[in-house]
Amino acid sequence: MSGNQAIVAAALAAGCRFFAGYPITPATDIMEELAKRLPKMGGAVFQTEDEIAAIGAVVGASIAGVRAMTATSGPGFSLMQEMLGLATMAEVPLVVVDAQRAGPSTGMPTKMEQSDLNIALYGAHGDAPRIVLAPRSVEDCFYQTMHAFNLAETYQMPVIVLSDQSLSHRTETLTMPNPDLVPVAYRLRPAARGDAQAYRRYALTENGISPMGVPGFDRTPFTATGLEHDETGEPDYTPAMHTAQLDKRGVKFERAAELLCGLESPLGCWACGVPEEKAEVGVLTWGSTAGAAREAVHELVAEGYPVAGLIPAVINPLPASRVRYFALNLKAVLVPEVNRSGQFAAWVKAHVGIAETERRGRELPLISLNKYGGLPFTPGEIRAKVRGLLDEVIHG
Amino acid sequence: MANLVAQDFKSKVKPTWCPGCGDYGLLAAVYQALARLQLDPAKTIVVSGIGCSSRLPFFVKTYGFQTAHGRVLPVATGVKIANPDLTVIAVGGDGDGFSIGGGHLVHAVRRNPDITYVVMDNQIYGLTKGQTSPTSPLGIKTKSTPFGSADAPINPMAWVLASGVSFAARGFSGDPKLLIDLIVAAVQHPGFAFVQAMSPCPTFNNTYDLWRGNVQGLPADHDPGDRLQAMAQAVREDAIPLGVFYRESRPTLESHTRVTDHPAKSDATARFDVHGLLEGYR
Repeated sequence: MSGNQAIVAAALAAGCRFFAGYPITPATDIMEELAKRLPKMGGAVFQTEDEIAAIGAVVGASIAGVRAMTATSGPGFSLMQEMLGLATMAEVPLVVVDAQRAGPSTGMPTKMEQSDLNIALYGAHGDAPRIVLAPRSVEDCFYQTMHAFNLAETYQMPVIVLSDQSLSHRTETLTMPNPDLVPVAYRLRPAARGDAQAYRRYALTENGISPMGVPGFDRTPFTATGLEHDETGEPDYTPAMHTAQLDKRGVKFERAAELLCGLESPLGCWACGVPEEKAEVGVLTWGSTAGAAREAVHELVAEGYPVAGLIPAVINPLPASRVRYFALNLKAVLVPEVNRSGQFAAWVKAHVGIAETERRGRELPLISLNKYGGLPFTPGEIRAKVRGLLDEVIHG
Repeated sequence: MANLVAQDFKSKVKPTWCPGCGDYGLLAAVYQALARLQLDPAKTIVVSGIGCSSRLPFFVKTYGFQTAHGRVLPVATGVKIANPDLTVIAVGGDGDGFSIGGGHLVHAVRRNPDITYVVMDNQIYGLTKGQTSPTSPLGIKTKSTPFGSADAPINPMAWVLASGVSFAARGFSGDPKLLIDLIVAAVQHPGFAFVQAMSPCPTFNNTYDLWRGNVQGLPADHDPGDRLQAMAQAVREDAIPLGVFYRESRPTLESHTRVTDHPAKSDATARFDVHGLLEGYR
């Protein structure tokens, strides 16, 4: 199956019953596939006038209690930023699939690129923490999309799935995905027999997660807003409340990070090659470049070279401790990615900085390998660069 | 549910509007209309955009959602598709609905979701303290147009009629009795119901006297089933006609596109079977 087909199956398995979207290559067939299937499963697909309306309708459906998703590509994702901010502020669960293509602007609609990482991480104004996942294969498209819904529902925030054109439309043979491996979550709701008068939608709880009333089902009316608000949802611009609510939204994200970056993470890193303790050179990458990187590492190891690979599934929160441990004793770490500016390498450097590698007394030895013609890496390109690095560190 | 009165729909949040703002009249009419309709506050949601008038959801004790500037209709439509059992009332101002949100209006109108959309039209940007709006008259001098505006105004009534609206009415905040009737009729209308509520801004564009002199009921023989007659009334320049311009019955969006498998209806964390779907790829 293809990456887009896997995303559709996973969304349905996770309980998604609302999709709104606007046609855009290479994400369109997610909408088309869901349009065939969702109405038969009690759901709805809504083609809107633009991407702002698409994510707006998703926000509305989610406020109304339905698990909801949109899928788009770079140009549409740019338009969706204001609603990501609203969903962060109003604490509305939702999933956005960005099937990246070459940019900026209209770019090359039918060519792949991994250049939307920055907008996924930093898009929308204000402090707006959100989870960013990056599938590494078609199988990953399935499991990560299922997890995306559960994370969105659990932490009441937007979750971005950063796929790309090469994953969207490639056909892979894979082990039959098992939806039963991923739990199905739903947002925390007010106690059925609770006191509606005392209900506070944005209550400042220890883990930042507060009960979300579902209109039509919970007798706990509240008004959600993009304005800063107090615990009841009423606008509140006091320094103390803005600080407290920013902390609430931040703490939720930090709790998600504890789960996603811990040893028991449901979305762990892929490791390949020799154990990093025995390696001289490492390959650190993300998203669909995983395939070429893994093959390159396997080939080099088969030839007897001390090479290790690491590929996180979760980009935000980045499993920084794991990456640091991986890179700590390596002489060089190659970071191949399909963009010109090294967006992932910069993200890693921001999280795994100099101070944290003091033991070695030097910066992380990250070396970017950037390809940006609209095509994915071949294993040979990565292998050749690693061979060069091996020659330098072993003989140089 | 006990018999609800207007007071029951009043939240504890106090309006932030200026003294004399037309929106007070509209808000009072909303309380009265909700009571007359005996709507369940837990099954009603008031959705808005951004602007003075878009503060309204905070003042009503139902579910509410103040969204982003201009985005009230896409969000309200998503709510309605997700749960058609909810009464969805969208509110906002002329800048929110006709300028930044103008692109969404025609599409909401043509799809005909069962949503009531009340636009409080004061022909000015009030929250940002007095700039020309999409319904401001040509030549108006405001803070952003000190030498007069070069933009001709939008005619919202003609616009929605031309887009195929299934219910369109106009009220005036100085005539609360009519506004209550219009809001009740709009909510009862099965489809997209547009209510243009002329609502003066005494601080930045005081049109009270001008509008009081110009408003009048639609002609006694006006046929609200005739779109061309409605259009003729919409483009009148000699007066501001009030009342129900147009109504027709046609299928709603959610009669075709709606969620029936709502998670809150059953076990929200039950598994969803996709094994058949996956087998299809074998």
